Amino acid sequence: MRRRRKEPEAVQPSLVPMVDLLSNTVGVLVFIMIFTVMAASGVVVLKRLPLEHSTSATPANFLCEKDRILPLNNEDLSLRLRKKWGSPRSIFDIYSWIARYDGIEAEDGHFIARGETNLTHGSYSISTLFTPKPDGGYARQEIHLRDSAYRQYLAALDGKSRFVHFFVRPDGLESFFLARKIAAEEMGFSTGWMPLDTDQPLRFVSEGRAATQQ
Amino acid sequence: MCVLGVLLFVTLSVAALALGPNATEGWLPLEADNKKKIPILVEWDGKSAVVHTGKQLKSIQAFSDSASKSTPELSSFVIEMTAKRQTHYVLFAVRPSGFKDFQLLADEFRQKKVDVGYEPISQDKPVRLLQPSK
Repeated sequence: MRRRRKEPEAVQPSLVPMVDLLSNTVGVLVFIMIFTVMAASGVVVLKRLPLEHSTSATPANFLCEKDRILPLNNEDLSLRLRKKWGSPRSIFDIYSWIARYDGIEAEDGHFIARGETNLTHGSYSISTLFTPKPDGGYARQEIHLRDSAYRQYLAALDGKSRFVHFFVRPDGLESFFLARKIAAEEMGFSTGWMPLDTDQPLRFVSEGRAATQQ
Repeated sequence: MCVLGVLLFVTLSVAALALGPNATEGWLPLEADNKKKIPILVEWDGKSAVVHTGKQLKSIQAFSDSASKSTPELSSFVIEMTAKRQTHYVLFAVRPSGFKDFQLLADEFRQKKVDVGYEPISQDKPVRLLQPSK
């Protein structure tokens, strides 16, 4: 009679190496956590900040608001306003000519420009109000694309005679940071910016503040 | 494995919080090196100007209620900066709530020929200056 071979007993693995592995991993994770907290409680983000200085270069303006970048071609719009405005018919027509600037409008794909005058006794002021179009400009998500309209707009500018200047509203901060990074670091432009509150109109006054590089 | 997963999650969460929106922003002024001027960081939120002097912070009420007349505190700080304008400049951290009146504040210094620099920063993000590496 054949003897049945005795079935080998199942070997119970020891849990000791598993506990070692677990405690080692936990220790490493706790160490990483402590290191992260200590390192991050200090300084994290580095920024390189320039000083304000005037320049002979002319600004290529942009408005940053509602997470969009709107190119403000104020020179072209002002030129079109001036053409509509015309010239005084005579020296006696000066005041009515100035008054005629009020309400003249010109527009492009991004802005509506409107002439404004303020005539008081013996003095006057002329300004141009630029109102962004709701569908104007470029969204933040699209400007970093390789062939974005923003990059094409910048590429058409002369980097020696122009610098990129941003009017920044509180809701346009992130788009400003990205747009400036592209203009300065990737395309080599000098830049500047000017803060503009949410309800502050974008108005160019005849003797207003000049844009400066930063 | 559950313990490991939980610990990994906690670690990542702590890292995300520490590196996230509340992380301190460190600013390293480059141009100042070129001009050999020392930046004095001033946080501006539209009401008060917080001046960073070394490791101390000093809060200054900038304008009186009329919003255009500078307070004696601000005037004395402008005088102080004017006295050392050859060696120092004012570096503003402008918060969104301070956008409206920022130019008024900066003009106080520009009129005295004190150099200024300015950079926007999120409303609640802490900021401090880094020492430029030599």
